[in-house]
Amino acid sequence: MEDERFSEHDSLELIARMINQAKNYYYESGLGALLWGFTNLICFTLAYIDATPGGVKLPFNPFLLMIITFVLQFYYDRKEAKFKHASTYLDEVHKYIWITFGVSVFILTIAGAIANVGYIVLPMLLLLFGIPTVISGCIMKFKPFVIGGIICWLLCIAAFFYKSYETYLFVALGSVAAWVIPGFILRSRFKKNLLKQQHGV
Amino acid sequence: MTESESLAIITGMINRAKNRFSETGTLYLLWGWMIFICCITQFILLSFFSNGHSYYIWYVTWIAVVYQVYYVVKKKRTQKVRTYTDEIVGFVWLTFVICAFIIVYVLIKNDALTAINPCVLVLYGIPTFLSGVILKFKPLSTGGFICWFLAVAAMFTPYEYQLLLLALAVACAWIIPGYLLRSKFKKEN
Repeated sequence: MEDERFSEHDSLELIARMINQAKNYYYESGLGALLWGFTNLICFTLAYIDATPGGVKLPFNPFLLMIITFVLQFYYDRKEAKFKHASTYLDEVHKYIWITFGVSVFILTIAGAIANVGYIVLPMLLLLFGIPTVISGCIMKFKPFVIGGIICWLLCIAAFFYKSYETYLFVALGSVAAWVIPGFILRSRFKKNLLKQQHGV
Repeated sequence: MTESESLAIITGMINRAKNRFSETGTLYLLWGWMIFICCITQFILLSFFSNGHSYYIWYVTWIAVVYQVYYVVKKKRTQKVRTYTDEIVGFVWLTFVICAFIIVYVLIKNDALTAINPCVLVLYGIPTFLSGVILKFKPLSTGGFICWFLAVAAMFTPYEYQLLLLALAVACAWIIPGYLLRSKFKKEN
């Protein structure tokens, strides 16, 4: 009986409601991109200042600042998990894309430093930055991510031929192209959509 | 289009796609065997014949490129439904190919031959692991992990022995999962 009363219109409405409930605000609002984009921008700019001959020597490793971002991300993940009733296939794919990225970066930086192949670490980081960014862009059909990822790859090629402490700035620039700018675009698009939904347009 | 029509299309697409496991494993086997043979041949040429032009063997991979183009074009013509999963896996491998080209090109230009194989192994792990989790096929995700483990080992290994690690990586990540994918495809279709 229940099935008979559940019309086609109701089914479509239910699908739309489920999609809305399952939306991942961390990715779709641009929050994740902005958080990590600014973190990398700050860390690599500070690393550049620290590595500049005759420049300011920092009393701490600038990359330790990433711990703050990890804590913030953990907080947002917990907060989102509380009101999110379902997770989409895309959430899962995104999660694995970023886990893969994290593992690759970890292997490269730790093993690269131990094996004394440090000179390839920064250009390789740019190459790795491009991978999840381009894949996310293609999946979300969001061009700024794709363009940002391609810029990272071009910067990677440039960094391989420009072996200098200034390569840190290339990585900072890569994070602006891949995450900061697309993050702001995503955020403004997200706010517009939210306004439209609120006003029923 | 009415609501009933759109629902019918959604249901139809789901039914058509869910009954078919579209991954035949052909490309995994093609590239797995191709790279395996190149690695072993180069290792033999380097170790037993001290051949300075041993890297020429890698030009053979162009045969695989030509076959892949033919295979992909043919598959696109005959494929009735391209699932979302197919699309995502496609993006993942396209990204990998671009990155592999970039890294091999810049490292050769920088005369950093010993760094090529560890970097390539890190890259091998990415699409292999991702395809495994997207297709929910464990042998591939395990293969991805093995690639990353071998990437670390390769950083501490002389160049000619890195080739053996690379051969082992493709055997674990592509050849074995390729045969398993093939048998799964045959069973389910």
